Amino acid sequence: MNRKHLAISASVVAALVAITGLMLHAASGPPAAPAPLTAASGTLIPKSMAVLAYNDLGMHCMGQDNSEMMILPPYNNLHAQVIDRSHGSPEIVSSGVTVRYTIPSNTHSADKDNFWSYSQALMGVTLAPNIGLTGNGLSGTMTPTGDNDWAATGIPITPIDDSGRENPYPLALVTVLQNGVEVARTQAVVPVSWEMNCQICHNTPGISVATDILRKHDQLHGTTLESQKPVFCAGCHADNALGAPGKPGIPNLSSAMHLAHAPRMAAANLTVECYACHPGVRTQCQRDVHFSKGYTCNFCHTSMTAVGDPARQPWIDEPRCGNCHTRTGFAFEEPGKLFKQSRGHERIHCEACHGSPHAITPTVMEVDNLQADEVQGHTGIINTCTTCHTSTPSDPFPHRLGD
Amino acid sequence: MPVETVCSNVRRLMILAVLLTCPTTWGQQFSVVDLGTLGGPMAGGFGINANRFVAGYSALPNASFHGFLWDGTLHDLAPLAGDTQSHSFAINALGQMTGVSYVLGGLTSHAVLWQQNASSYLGDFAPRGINDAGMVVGCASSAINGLGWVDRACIYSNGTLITLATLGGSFSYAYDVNGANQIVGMSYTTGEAGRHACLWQNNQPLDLGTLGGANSQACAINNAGQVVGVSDTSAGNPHAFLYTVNSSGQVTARADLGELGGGWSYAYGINGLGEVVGTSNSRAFYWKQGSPFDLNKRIPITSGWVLNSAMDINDNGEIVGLGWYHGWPHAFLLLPAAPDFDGDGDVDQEDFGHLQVCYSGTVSQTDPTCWNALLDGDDTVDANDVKVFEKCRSGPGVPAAANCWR
Repeated sequence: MNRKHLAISASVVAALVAITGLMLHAASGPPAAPAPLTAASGTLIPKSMAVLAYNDLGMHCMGQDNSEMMILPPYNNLHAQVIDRSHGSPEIVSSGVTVRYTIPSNTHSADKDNFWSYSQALMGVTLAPNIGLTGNGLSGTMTPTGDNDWAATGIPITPIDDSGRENPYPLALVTVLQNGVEVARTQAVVPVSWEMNCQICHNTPGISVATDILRKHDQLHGTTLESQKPVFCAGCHADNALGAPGKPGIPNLSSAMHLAHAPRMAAANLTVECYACHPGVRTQCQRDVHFSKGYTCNFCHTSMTAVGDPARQPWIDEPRCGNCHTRTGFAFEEPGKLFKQSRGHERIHCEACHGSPHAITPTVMEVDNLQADEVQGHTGIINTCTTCHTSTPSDPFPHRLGD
Repeated sequence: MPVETVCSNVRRLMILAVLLTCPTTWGQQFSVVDLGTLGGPMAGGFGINANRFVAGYSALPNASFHGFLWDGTLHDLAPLAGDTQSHSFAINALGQMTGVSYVLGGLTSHAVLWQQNASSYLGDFAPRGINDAGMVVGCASSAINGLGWVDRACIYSNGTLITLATLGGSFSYAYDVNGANQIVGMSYTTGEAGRHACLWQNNQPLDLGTLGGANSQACAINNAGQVVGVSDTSAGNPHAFLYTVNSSGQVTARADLGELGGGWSYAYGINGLGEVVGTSNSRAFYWKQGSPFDLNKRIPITSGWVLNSAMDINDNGEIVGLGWYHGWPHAFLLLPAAPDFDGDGDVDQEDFGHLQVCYSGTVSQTDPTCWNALLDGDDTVDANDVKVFEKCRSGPGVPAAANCWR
């Protein structure tokens, strides 16, 4: 082992020790309080129309280097609901307007991530620079989903803004145009991170993290992945997030990853074990009102072993708000749907008022709380009736869909 | 006399004959320096001055990012009190560095000036560039009724922060400023319809236009008024551009710098000699004339590096950026190197022998062991490369001059 490898080894070990120490320390500290009022309070009070925007998951992970392997491509989803306030009773708008999105601080991705150089080898698709897998770019027009909202899917955003700064929480601007004239706008976070700390354990001196992973996979499973780079994990392991069917007899990606690592994480004795792989120690994607009250990932997602259960359908069998929240007259998810898919009050999507999973407002980060503060003058749940209504209704608030 | 010797001698004569007639072209090989990290797994270099001081940022063992100064040694530029992250982006001739201090997920960034082991809080904005007079440019965020929380290009000078006007849209960003206080960046246009490269002349925005496509962004400007950045072409592909603006800020020349493949390129930095650096097809590139070339072909093939993005270049031709070092994201520094192919410290006939072996004429040289012989910036080893070699020939035992090619 030469001096260069020793230097790499020493730095990686130091990182492992320090990160372990930090995670133990962070787990024992008090929960963070929700972020206070933003300086943008009331700047986007709706007029003739209101628009509320939201990301579907609260965080999208992606890989920083795709030259050897890829777990997830750059792919993000932004939704919006448009409400017409100009006719007395508010009406959800699904046509007759143009809904645009743009991310002003982060307008290009091809130069920040090598996905476009390897998309053909990984997924068999050649993409134009800055265009994602669904044909959407970092700016464009949203399309009606048929579920009372508008969406731009597959936005290929990276966590590096145009100045070169790492920012996992960039703000998107969503504007609604009617007859070419802007009638409403809002801002919402399009969260993205590539802080997957595989290097905590996959740190063999002299080789990359990806090579270490592939080499270990080959050793354990008799594959030859190291010689087949770049490798797309979902090429063999089914992944509902990507619609990848996988190959027969091979466990789905979530089960394979969580079950393979669960016994190893326990040995490492990390309280917030999720941040070893999910973003992350720095990113802190679990940042919502639950976090501020002391609830961490495991409270909802239980254990890695449970998440990796082969019988579980990843991305479909997910925690339900109704598992904990019960209130007479309130329903939480629609039957058979997740929170992110559900609607309540007059077909308003839950996320529109409450925020995204992992970022249920009020969160501990100012950016997540911005939209609520802009449209209603205070942070937290968007619960000011005049956000959509022109006057406060006198009858009780019907939270459930269909009430 | 063996046939091989006859042929070799004939080739030498032909080369010498060509030397008398072929125009001089430039060419360069580099040695590559890993700037290291502050203990974490990654780092990136963003700015370099004439003294070879580098501004950038690195991960720490606790996963936070801190700005750094590299002057042969890596120095931690910690965030301001109350913040958790910092990035250092630019450094001027005086060694003044500017960058940002912030909390992830916060709405407000804090501008920092680092100089001589001291840091100064400049105000609530996100700096990105600094000129030799200490003028700092970047963007400041604020709430505007009806528009929301918007970012606006700004300048900070002599203790005063000034927000600049836009090209009609809500958002704008300033990335660099030259000695004439010409500021470049990007601004949204009216109705947020598009994003255009923008030059602020006497603090007034001027639309620099595009290469025919919808959007553009200016990233850097030198004292000669040469501006680099990226623009959509008429085909919709983002290409690195080089514009020239006069003292009034009017564009007098436009050039599409081309790309290395993949259909895209971005220019990030330009020095006083008009040498441009950037990235194309995930490869760091250099451009002086003609087409850009891949800097990965100009470093030792056993270096362990994949150079991804070249971010800045100083007037000595020294380049900083981000790349993958044995698979880890690190900051690199490229130092011009003489064509001392055998590594004995001189440039002599022994080194010329390597050039002869690699001679390819009009055919592209695809042998990686011969990429270091591509001295003139193209992909063939021919008489023009010999010309460059002759400029650098120092003789047996005579130390080679690293900048012999300039």
